Amino acid sequence: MTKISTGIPGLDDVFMGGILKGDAVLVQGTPGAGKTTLGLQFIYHGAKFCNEPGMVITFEEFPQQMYRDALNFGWDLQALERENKLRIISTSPGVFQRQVQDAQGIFQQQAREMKVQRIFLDSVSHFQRITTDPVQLRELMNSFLNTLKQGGFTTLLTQEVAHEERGVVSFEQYVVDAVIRIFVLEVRDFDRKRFIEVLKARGQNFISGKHAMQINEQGMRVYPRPMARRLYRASSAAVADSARRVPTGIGGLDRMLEGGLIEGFSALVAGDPGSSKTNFALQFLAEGVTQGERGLFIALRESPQKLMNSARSIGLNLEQMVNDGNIHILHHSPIQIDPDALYWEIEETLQKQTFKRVVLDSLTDLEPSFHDDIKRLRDYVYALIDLFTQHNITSIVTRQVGEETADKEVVESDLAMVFDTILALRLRRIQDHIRKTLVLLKVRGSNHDSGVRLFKVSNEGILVETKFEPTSRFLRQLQRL
Amino acid sequence: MPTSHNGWLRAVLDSPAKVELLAFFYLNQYTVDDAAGLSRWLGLDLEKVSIAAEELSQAHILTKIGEGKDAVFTLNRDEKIQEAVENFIKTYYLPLDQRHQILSDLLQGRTIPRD
Repeated sequence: MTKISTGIPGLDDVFMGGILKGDAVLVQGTPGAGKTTLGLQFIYHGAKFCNEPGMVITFEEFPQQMYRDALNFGWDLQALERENKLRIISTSPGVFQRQVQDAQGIFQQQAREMKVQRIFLDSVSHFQRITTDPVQLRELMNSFLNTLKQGGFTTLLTQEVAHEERGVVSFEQYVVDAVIRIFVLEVRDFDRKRFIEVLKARGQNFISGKHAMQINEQGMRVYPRPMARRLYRASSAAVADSARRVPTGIGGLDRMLEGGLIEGFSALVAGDPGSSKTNFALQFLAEGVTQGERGLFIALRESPQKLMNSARSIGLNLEQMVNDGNIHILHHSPIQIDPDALYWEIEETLQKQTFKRVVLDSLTDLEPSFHDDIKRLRDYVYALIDLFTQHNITSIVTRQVGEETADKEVVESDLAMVFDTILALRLRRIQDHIRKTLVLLKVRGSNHDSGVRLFKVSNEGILVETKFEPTSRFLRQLQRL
Repeated sequence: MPTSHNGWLRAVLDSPAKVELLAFFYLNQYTVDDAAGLSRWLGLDLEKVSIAAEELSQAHILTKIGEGKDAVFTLNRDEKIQEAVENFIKTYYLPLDQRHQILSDLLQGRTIPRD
C-alpha cells in the first residue's frame, strides 16, 4: 500500500507516513474549524510538489474566495490552473452526482485529461440537497465513493458538524476509509484552540488522541501529541556507575551529587517562589559553557533581557554567552504557550543544533495549558525528558511548589517519577532569619548526600554549605513536613 | 459569429442577469452547473437565470451540455471568446462605479454605452 503526503506538516506523522493512496478521507468539523484550508493544502501540495494534479469540487464556497484565501497562505491556485494541474469547479450536488457517474461526463473527462489524482469535495453535507432520506443518502454516498475509488483518486471530503461532541457517529464515517475530526475547543475561558483527531483509518496505524493544530501564514500545521519513544529507564546503580558526571558548577551541590548530575539524566528543581530556581538553572548552563558544552534555555516566564539581568546578579555574563553562540534562549510568553507546538519547536531546535545541556524554566508556566489534566501533563513531560535523553542532553526543569507543599508530596507526585533527580529549594525561617535550604529528595541510580543544606546566592554565584547544623526547632519543622 | 470585438459582447449583454452570470463565470471559470445551481450561486431568480444562460449559450459565450432542466452550462474556452469576456469584465464590471452604472442602465432599458 502506497502512502501519500497530505502536505500538512505533522499530519503525516499522525498517520505514520501519510494517508493511503486511493482512500476516501472524511474531514469533519464545525464551521470555521479549518476543513477547507486542510483540503486546499492537500490539493495544493499534491499539484505543486508531488506531480499529482488535483480537482476541487465546491458546492458552496465560491472558487474566487478559495483563490483569495489560498493566496493568503502563498498558494497561487490560479497559476496551477493555468498549468493544468488544478481545477476548482463550482457546481451543485445533483449535477456533480450525475456527471461523475457518467464516464463521458464533464468531470471524468477533465480528470482524465489532467491525470487528476487528488480530489477535494467541499462538502458532502450538501448531498442533502439531493435527498434527505438517510437510506438514499447512504446509497448515494456509497455509489459516489465507489466511482471515485474505481478512478483511483485519493479523495478528501468535508462534512460540517453542528457541535464538538465526538459521540455522534454519522453514516458517512462508516462508508469512508478514514475520518479526521477538527475540534475548536475553548481554553482558559478566553481563548479557542484547534485540535485534530483521527477517528478511523482503515488498514493503517495512526497516533490516537487529540493533536494541537494551528493555521498560520503558511497554512495548516499539526503538532502530534508528544509521546515518549522508549520505555523509561529502570533505576539502576550500574547505569550511574559507568555514566559521566555533569557538574552543575554550584559549589557544594556537586559534592552532594558525588560529582554532578548523571549525563543524559533530568533533574527537577522544585522550590518556593523566590528560592533561586532560575539562578540554579543559569549556573548549570554557565558551567556547561566553561566545559565547552552548549546550552539551551527554554524561558517560559522571564524575557531574555530579564534573564540576562538575573544572571548578572550572580556574576554571570549571559549576554556574552548568548552572543558567542554558547547559549541559545528560546522564549515564549506563558500566556500564549501551546505546549505541543513548543515541544515540536524544541525538537526542531535540537535537530538543527547540538546542545549538551537544556533548562526548562518553568514547568509551572506550562501547567495551565493542560487544564488540570495531570495525566496528559505527565505524559508530556515524560516525552520532553525522553527527547532530551535521546539527544544525550542533561536537563534541569524548574517548578514552583507552594510553601505548604511537603517534600513528600513533591517526591510522590505523578510528575516526580519522570525525573531522575529532584532537588527541593526552600525558604525557611531559622533563628529570625529567612534562610535558603536545599535537599536532594531523589537521585536515581546514585549515592548522594541526603542532608538539608543551607545555600547562599551572591554576585559570585550560588554556594551550598555542605555543613549545616540545624536547630532542634528547625528539625521539628522538617519532621512535620 | 462572435468576434473578439467588445461591441458584439456588449450587444449580447442586454440584461443584468446576463452581466451577473458572465461575471460569475469569469471569476469562477470552471463552473459546471445547471440553471437552478447558477441561480443559487448568484442569488437571482431562476427564470431570469435560465433565460440568461440559454441566451449566452446561443451566443456561444457559454457552452450548454444536455437538454431540459438537467442541462449544464460552462464557460466557452475558445480563446477569442475568453479574450472578449476578459476585456469586458476588466473594463466594465470590475471597476465598481462602472458596474453600478451598467446595471442601472440595463435596468432602465438602456444598452451598455460604447467606448
